[in-house]
Amino acid sequence: MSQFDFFEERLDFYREVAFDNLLSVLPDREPKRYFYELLPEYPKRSGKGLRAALCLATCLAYGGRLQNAINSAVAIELFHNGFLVHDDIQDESMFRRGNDTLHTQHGVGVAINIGNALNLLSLQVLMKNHALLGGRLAWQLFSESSEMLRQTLEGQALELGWIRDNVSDLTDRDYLRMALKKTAWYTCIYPCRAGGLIATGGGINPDRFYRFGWFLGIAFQIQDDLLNLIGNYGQYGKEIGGDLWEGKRTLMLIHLLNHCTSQEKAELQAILGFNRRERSEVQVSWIYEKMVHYGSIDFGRKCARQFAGAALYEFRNAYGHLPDSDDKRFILEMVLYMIEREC
Amino acid sequence: MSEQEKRRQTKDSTKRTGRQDKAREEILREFGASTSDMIQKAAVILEEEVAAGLQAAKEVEQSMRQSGEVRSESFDDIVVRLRKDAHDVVNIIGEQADQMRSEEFDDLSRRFQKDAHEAVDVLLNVVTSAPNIINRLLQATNIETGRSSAESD
Repeated sequence: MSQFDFFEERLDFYREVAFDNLLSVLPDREPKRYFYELLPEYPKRSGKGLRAALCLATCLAYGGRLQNAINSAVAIELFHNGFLVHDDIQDESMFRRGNDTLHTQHGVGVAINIGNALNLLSLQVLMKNHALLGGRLAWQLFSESSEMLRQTLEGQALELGWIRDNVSDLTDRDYLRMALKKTAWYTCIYPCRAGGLIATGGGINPDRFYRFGWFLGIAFQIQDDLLNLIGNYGQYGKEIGGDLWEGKRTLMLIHLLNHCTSQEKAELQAILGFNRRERSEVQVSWIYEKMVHYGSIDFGRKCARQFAGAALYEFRNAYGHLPDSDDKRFILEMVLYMIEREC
Repeated sequence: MSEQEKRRQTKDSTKRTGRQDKAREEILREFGASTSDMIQKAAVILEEEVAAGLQAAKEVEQSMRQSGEVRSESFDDIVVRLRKDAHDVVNIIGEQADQMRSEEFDDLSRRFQKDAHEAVDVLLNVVTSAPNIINRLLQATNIETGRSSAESD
């Protein structure tokens, strides 16, 4: 028994609702082999479904109807799966959710097409909100989605650009901005805003979710980066050390770059300048050892905890006034889950 | 489930909830005690990005308004309702006419109903497309005054 039994049970409930509906919108027609049969590949690999859960839970906690939030919850997960397909290609990742990545199985061209299709399906699902919620709210949700996509793409561009140009003079601020855009917006800010808007028929100012979503999202991202360094493949489902192989500018790597000696920094920059295929196991291990030596991993852990604390504080502003419910409790427990999860 | 089992489960659940409450309190206390530089930086970055996003959203909204300000959702709703009401009226008149039975009159009545339904549809189609026409006229006016040449692309 774990302290997250309630959270995980509730997460299962939200996930089931979202994924049953998600799978039902995937077309089953020709061309199957190169297209439609591949659409459910990532969604079926049992992701956590945190984004859909946060949207559904926020809607319910605010007194809304589950049915009204399903389209938006499904759209978030479709966007997420589309991002993952493209992200795996861009990062040349090999494993996703305990299996080979889509592009390693089916080739880059086919995988890009699948990522595009998942994005298109998200838009189609969002369009259904017009009939369900009315034109005004559907438009508001569409605008929220547009902003979320803009933020995510800009964040992704920063991360990819830093790797391509071997940028090594980054600061905490650079990392925070990138993580806000790349992860926190679509993982936490957008689902909360959408859920709140749906519950109230557009009757609240969704800006109340900004800080909570941001702090929760950054805690999630740092924990994800930590798991990538020190996690267990069986639980984590992604390649351990994958970020080091890919040269990702994580908070821990930036900490190391800013705390090691100038000689070590030069060596680190040289290693990061290679592409993934040119890097050796010895070099990757060297980076990891230096991170341990300079306390970069402990620094990451400390920051994740601080952000979780900030999220707990902001929870009061975003949800504190609501009557107690399982959904409200779920969101509260998600804060701790984000920094203590092992997958 | 026996009473004993229920009590045990409740006890377990309370213990787990207690452990979480304690962990949360600890994190909150740490957060309250620290004047974390990272949190402050993060808060500022959020403000900056939200401000930049608002500007971008305003630009999109403005261009959307220019192309869609006449046709509104409520306008569409009214037209749908009006169309239904108008068809209902035609049907009622048709039913009354049916009571005045004669072969010649039946034929006339059927034609009347068909023509009347078509007339309602044509009229309302014209009404529905009116906002489009108005929008186009507005756009044309804007173009003439040089206000929105960029948006119209």
